[in-house]
Amino acid sequence: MAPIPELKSKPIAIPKPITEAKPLTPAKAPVPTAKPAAVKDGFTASPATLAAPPTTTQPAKAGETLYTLKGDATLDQVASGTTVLNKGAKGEPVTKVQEALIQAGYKLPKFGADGDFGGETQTALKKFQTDAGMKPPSGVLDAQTLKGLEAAAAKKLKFPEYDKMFKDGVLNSTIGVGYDEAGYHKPEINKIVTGLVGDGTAANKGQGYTQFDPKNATDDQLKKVGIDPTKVDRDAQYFVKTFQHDGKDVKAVVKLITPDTPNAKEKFAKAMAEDEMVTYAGHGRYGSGPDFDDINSTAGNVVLGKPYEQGHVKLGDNDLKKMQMTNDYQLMMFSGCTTNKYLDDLRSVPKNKNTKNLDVVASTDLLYWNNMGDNALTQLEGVTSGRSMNEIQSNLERINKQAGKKSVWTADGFRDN
Amino acid sequence: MATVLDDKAPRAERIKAAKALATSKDVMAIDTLVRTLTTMDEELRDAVVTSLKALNAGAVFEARVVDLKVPQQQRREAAMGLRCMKLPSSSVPLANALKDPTPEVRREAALALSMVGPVPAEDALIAALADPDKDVRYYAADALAGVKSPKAKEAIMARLAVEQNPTVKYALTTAKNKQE
Repeated sequence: MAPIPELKSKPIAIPKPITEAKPLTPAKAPVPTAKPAAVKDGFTASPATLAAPPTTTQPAKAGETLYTLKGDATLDQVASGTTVLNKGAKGEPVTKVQEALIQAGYKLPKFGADGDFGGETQTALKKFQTDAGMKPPSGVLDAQTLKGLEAAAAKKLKFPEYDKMFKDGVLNSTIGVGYDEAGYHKPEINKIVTGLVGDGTAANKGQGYTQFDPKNATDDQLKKVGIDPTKVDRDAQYFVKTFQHDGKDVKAVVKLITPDTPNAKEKFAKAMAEDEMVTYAGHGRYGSGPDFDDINSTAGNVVLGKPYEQGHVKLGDNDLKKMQMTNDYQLMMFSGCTTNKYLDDLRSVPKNKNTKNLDVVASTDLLYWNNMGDNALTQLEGVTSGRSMNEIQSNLERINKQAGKKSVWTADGFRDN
Repeated sequence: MATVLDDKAPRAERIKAAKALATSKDVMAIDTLVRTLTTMDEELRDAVVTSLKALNAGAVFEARVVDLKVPQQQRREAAMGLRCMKLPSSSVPLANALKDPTPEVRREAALALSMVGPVPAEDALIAALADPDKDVRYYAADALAGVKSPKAKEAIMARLAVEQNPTVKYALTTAKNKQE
């Protein structure tokens, strides 16, 4: 058996805050990072569970765009007319072109964005060229096709409803990390905290958050960092920073709920009912909902619906039925196994939630614990950087890439955004 | 054996393969199983842990985790295996592994102690609060949260007063709150 390679986290090269609410040019962010679970020889690595946490964010520069096919040496050459990409080409530039094709609506149903310029990609490219009025369609990526494809992909981008999320100048968000019976949640909490605040060195400031202890804070101190004194949880751990959206300051308030948080289940349920953004990283508990304690206990389950298989998880009453969900727009991201099972419950049990006021990012397959922290950080960074949902999902796919699988995520409800 | 680790294999087959390894005579069975532990599939992992117990892997891991002649990766995986198996007898070897020359093993040992039972390792964990590796300090603080004693609390408070790393301070603060 081949030795399992070490999977060290690369720093998450991070993006750039946008200067406009919706960048016109979709562009590829330098992204994530964490390691795919899949490895050589058809084996799935047991990844370095305690690998160094990713670093994050850098402030954006004015005028930078968030998604572009430029920035890749080969594609830059294509853009300048010095080369073209033909059938048979392989590698990252091909992957980027394939992602752009998919984003622009030209499906690659059999092979997806696999980095191999084969017949399927050629056919899709010809279809795009035909639709774009390029005659005759060559199936070759040249400068004109690249420019057109970039623009077409940009038009198809879908964004979380940032204007609604940031309308009061504050992003209230919660990250919940669920419990694992073998303690795999602990390295992920470590990773998330480091990803938020850095490691105390100038080289790694994480996403630039500062930890804020509200225990003895005055109302003025709370307001200054964006925490509503009437809603503050004095026992919680908060992380705060200010970022730019559409030229205005927005205060990001992140509450971290873990299995160590007293009354974690109740606090996470409250966040689901009120917060503009909620992220969960942990076991999906067979589609029944987040869980902040042992699978054999009902105390920590936030019950959203029935499990898809009986006999594995003990559940109490349905919590979603008790939640007084806000009518305001919310973005929820659930990083765990097959959390897409939550979707129907989230939009049918609370009578006031629908695709217009609730967008959900969920997984469609089994995931790995060592990606949970990176998933949560990527989602948060994507929102505070104003990224499109397409880009956030693409980044999540890279982090969680598994051999032989094209996609393990779904972004639901964004069609009307 | 490869089926256990294969993402593409149907879930039921992976679980079946993990269970089948319980009676394996192959010396690689334990290593294969331990590398499946990061899965988020509870049923698969339960099957893996059950098979590890049937293979008496606890004794193998307890010996490996402190044997410096064993490659670092195997010592680290031994600590990971012990964390998932949660055998009370593992606390002492894991406490000894906190003196391992490599931080990767010390991190796993501290993390494992938080799940296995940190009380017998109290003194070793207190010493680990001053480890040069920030992640060892982080997991030592987390493990000490489970040792509800005045001595542990005093050590956590003392480290909190001098700790500079923000993530370790987070762990120490959480541990302090759990002690109270």
